Amino acid sequence: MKKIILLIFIGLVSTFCFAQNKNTLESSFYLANDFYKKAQYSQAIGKYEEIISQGYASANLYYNLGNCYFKSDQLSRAILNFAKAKRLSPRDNDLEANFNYAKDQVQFKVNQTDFNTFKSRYESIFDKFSLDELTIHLAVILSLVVLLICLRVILKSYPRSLIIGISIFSIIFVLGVSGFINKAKTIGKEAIVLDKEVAVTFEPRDGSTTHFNIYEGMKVFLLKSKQDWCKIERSDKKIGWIKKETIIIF
Amino acid sequence: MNKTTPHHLLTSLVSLLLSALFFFASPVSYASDMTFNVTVDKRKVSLGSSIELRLDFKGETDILEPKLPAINGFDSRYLGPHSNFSFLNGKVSKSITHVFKLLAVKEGKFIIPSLTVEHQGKSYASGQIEVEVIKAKKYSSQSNQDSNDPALATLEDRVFLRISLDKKIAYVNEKIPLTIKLYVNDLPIRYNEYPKLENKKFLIDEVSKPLQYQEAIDGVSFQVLEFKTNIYPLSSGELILSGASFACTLVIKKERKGRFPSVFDNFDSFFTSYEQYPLNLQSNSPAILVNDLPSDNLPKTFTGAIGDYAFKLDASPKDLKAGDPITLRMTIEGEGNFKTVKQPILNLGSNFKIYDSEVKKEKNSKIFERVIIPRKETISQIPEIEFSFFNPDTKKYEVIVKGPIPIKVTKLDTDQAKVIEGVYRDPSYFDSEKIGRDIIFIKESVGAIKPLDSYLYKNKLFIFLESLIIIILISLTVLYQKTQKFKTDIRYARKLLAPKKAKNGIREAKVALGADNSEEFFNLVFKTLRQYLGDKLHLATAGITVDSVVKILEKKINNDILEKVKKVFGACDLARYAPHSFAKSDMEEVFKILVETIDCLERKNII
Repeated sequence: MKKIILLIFIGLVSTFCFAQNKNTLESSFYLANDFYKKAQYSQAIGKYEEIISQGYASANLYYNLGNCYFKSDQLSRAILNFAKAKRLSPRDNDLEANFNYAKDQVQFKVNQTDFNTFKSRYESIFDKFSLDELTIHLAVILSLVVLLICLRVILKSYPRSLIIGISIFSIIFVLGVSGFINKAKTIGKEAIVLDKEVAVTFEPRDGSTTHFNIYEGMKVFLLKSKQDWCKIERSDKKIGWIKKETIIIF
Repeated sequence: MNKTTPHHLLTSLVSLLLSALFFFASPVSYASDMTFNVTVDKRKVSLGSSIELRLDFKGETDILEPKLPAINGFDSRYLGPHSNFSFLNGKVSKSITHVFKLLAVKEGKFIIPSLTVEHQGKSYASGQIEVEVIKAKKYSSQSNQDSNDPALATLEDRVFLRISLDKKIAYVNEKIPLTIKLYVNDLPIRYNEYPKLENKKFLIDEVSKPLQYQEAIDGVSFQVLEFKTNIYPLSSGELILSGASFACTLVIKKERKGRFPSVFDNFDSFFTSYEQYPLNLQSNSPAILVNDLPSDNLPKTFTGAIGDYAFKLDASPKDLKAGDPITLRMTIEGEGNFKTVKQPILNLGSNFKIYDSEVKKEKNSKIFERVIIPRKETISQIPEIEFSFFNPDTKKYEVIVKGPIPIKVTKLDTDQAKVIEGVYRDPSYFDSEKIGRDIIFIKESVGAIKPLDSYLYKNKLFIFLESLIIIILISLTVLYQKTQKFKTDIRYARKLLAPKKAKNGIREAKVALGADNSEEFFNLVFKTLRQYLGDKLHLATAGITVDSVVKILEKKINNDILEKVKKVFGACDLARYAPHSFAKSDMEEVFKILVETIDCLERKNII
């Protein structure tokens, strides 16, 4: 009992601290917004980054920070922050517009050929949800599946639609978990190119033959890290090695 | 017809066996010494045609592809190995031939040098071979006519790529026309793609469709394929434009090996086969001096446009009501790098509400269209607009000022709705155009702020709650099932209640034991055990006898427990007739056995 009281107390204290902290963070956010409105982008960036350095973030914060970097001609960091914002708020139209506009500024476009494959369409469904939203949806579906199975066990005469319902929700749940895992795997595995142009080599060593190039603001997928080198995959599935300092992983 | 007698058959069999024995017993003589020979399929070849060079290794088959040195006058290509293994008259002979294709790229007499191969510590050398490369026959329709063209000695002289620039000195971002020419002298060349130009120091337009014409160089006639494009230097200094590359295929007629003319010669086009030889042509790399734009007399409105342009300004409608939109059209046309042409800066003050611009790009013009709305009816003109650019021909900055444009704004009728939202479009002109783009303004509220990298699926409380929901659902279902079974299944209900009833009986028996009431004690012991076994075995309690119980339990429990059951029942039976014949210690013993028996049956869940 004492332990429960202690836990409740700790919970209340931490909630109170977070509420206090949130007020401070919000005031910093509004201050940063004012800097932006005065076109003082570097000061605005400083304030937004200060909030993030305290260990807090929101989709709007990343969005505003992306705007600041874009206005400061730092395309890669703008794209990075828009991508981070998109992870938290994937259906924000303003964000979508700014993100696409920033991506359009990337010097080189890679032809993607798998737009219409089942896999890409299936993955695009999950792009519309954040990880937290997917977690809640999957939890609800799982509870529903268990509930329907319980009903099936309890009811002596059950309608056929109950079995169909269990099957459909089970399939949705399995597919959802698979998509969720794929999406969760991308955390810490995506990266944005920092330099104007980076030569991607066949081997992780200086002087190795260039396989292809990647350009500032381009998003790549991190496959492996080896000391100062990273094995990356471009969106057209080309794979090669680059130095770690040329990208930001997020 | 000869008859096959048993004796004849036996003789044949013996002779066959002896032959086989002799065959396998005799030593197989392998060609232990290896010989190495180099041959060509012909000693005379025309320029642009090929010969086969064969490296024969007799006596061995495990010789890997030898590395061929550079042979003057020829370009070599490995075709593959051809191995041979034969068994003749008890002798095994084996050989391997590595075949190379030599393409004649120069005219004259050339020596294929002596080739040396190392094998198992021994060195093998071939002899030299002289091959003469003669002038190629024409492949064109005039092939039978004598050509007046001077002889071209090498393949490089007969097919080559050249690029030329219209300017040798330019400014950063200036448009420089570039021409790529493929020269071919009477060679059948095929191509599937345009020349490639890659250079990080230049922005390069797409290569246009080629023109085809004849051109003579030093009296030699060439077929020319001319490709055009534009390049834009991105930085200043002396820049080298790395050469263009062009992948094409030389189609060579495969010559017949027979000495005599074939009857199929007349069906040449049908029966003749051709070989394709890939060529990767590289052009020259011209240099260009690129200067920065001058910093003197830089106009305030200069945004980087470079070229020779004209600027037109137009507005419509010019007679309107306050709040109505005006489409302001700014057209920049001329020659130059349109990528550097940005929208002229508008200084319309606070009198106009300005919307996003739309841009239309045509071949030699760029049109910016902006919607502006006069805020007051007192506005009488659109102020002048300035466009400035650097003209590389005159080497000066030029400024073109257009306007002001007079407009007439009348007051809005009060009963007219004044609803103008979004960008006004003139569908007749810009229906298919792209909308001008910029980023959308920042968000005013911080939104749902949360700790970094905190995801719900990692939250222990969330996992606990979700697990709890599932456990509760499953538990409720199991509980409901058990309750239903308890209500409907008497056997199950009796079995489930048996231990509880037995516990009560034991408690009561213990009380009787404490009171030293042997009659009551044995009565309770008998009832408890009978009730317990009746419930467990789903038997009518009143009808249970020692024999009936033992008969059923014999198959299910071991002898020890069975003996204990019998002992309790026996004691109870005896006590019924002589209740006072049992001492307290005996009663305690019976009680102990009863408790042990029920406990044992319950714990082991035997019945």
